Amino acid sequence: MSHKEATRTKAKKAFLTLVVLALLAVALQSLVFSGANFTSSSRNPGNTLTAGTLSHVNSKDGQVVLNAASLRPGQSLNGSLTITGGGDFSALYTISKVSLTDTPTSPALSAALTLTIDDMTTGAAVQEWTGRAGTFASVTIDTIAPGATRTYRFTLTYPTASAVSALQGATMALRLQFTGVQQ
Amino acid sequence: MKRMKFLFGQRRMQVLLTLAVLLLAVSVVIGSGANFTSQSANPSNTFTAGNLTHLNSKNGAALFTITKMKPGDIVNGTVDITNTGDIPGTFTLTNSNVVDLPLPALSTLLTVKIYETKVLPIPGAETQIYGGASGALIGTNPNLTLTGAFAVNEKRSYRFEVTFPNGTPAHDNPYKLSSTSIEYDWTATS
Repeated sequence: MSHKEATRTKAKKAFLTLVVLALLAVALQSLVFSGANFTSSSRNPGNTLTAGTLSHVNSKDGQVVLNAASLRPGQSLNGSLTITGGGDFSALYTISKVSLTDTPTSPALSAALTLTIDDMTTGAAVQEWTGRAGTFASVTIDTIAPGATRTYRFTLTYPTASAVSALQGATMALRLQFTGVQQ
Repeated sequence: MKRMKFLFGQRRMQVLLTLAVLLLAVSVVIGSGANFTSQSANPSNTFTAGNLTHLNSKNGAALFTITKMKPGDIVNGTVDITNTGDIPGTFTLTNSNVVDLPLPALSTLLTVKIYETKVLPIPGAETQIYGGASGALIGTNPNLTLTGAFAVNEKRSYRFEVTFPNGTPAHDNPYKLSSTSIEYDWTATS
């Protein structure tokens, strides 16, 4: 056998060895990746959860309900508004004080005036709260369903017994807020 | 000398040929010695692959479609899973296709707890298997491997309890009318 033939034979053997190794590698790989277990699957798509909404309409939102200018001892003045429930839920409503400003601060007019809040929905007054205006903090009133309307009357009274000359020209500004919490 | 080697080689060839003939003769003697025989066969050994299937009592449908959720609400959805194949299977529960509309994402607010009840072959008590004490955010993938392979015909029931946590108005009000949609996927592996 010539040197050339021997070299050719060696090359052939090496090539064959590589081919065999490659085939083995492919076989092993397919063994590894074809180890797939049986599977079974199912789906529950489109589970949907949506939040509702809650709102109300205040017939005098952002407006003055009662302008008791020139209120004299022994006199009462009132103003009314309606609350209409909105959104998806009934809500329990609260009237709360946002701010109270007396000028002068002492003696304070809010300490002399009486505030009364009545539910006038049925025509007859149903008292929700009464007391010195300066002591009002909040009162829980009623549950109002979506679309339902309730009327509230606010009355300020200047009792004669509370009258002092230092309150002449005094002013009081009471800012109220209605808040509904879904039931 | 060369001739000697040739003759010696010839003799060796003759010896080898003789031995071969003898060997053939012996094998013929043995092969034709016909003893009594007895045979049996185990034919048609059959190997059939198992079948892994399962029944989802609400396959392709939602477990819950809830509208008008509000803070503090708790809602439930249930589904039964039965191994209807002929081999045991281990189940995993994942979620996918979480879609929130509009933002803020309700899926990052609602929480879910998952409970399991064994129904067949032996009914068991309901056990919480996901969510812990306060529940897990519903948008998070549970990626849950259910404990214990389902035997053939084993049936378990799952209850998904979804909670809208009751926070402050300032926190909760932005979620008014928000909506989230989620898919639950069950996969059994042999």
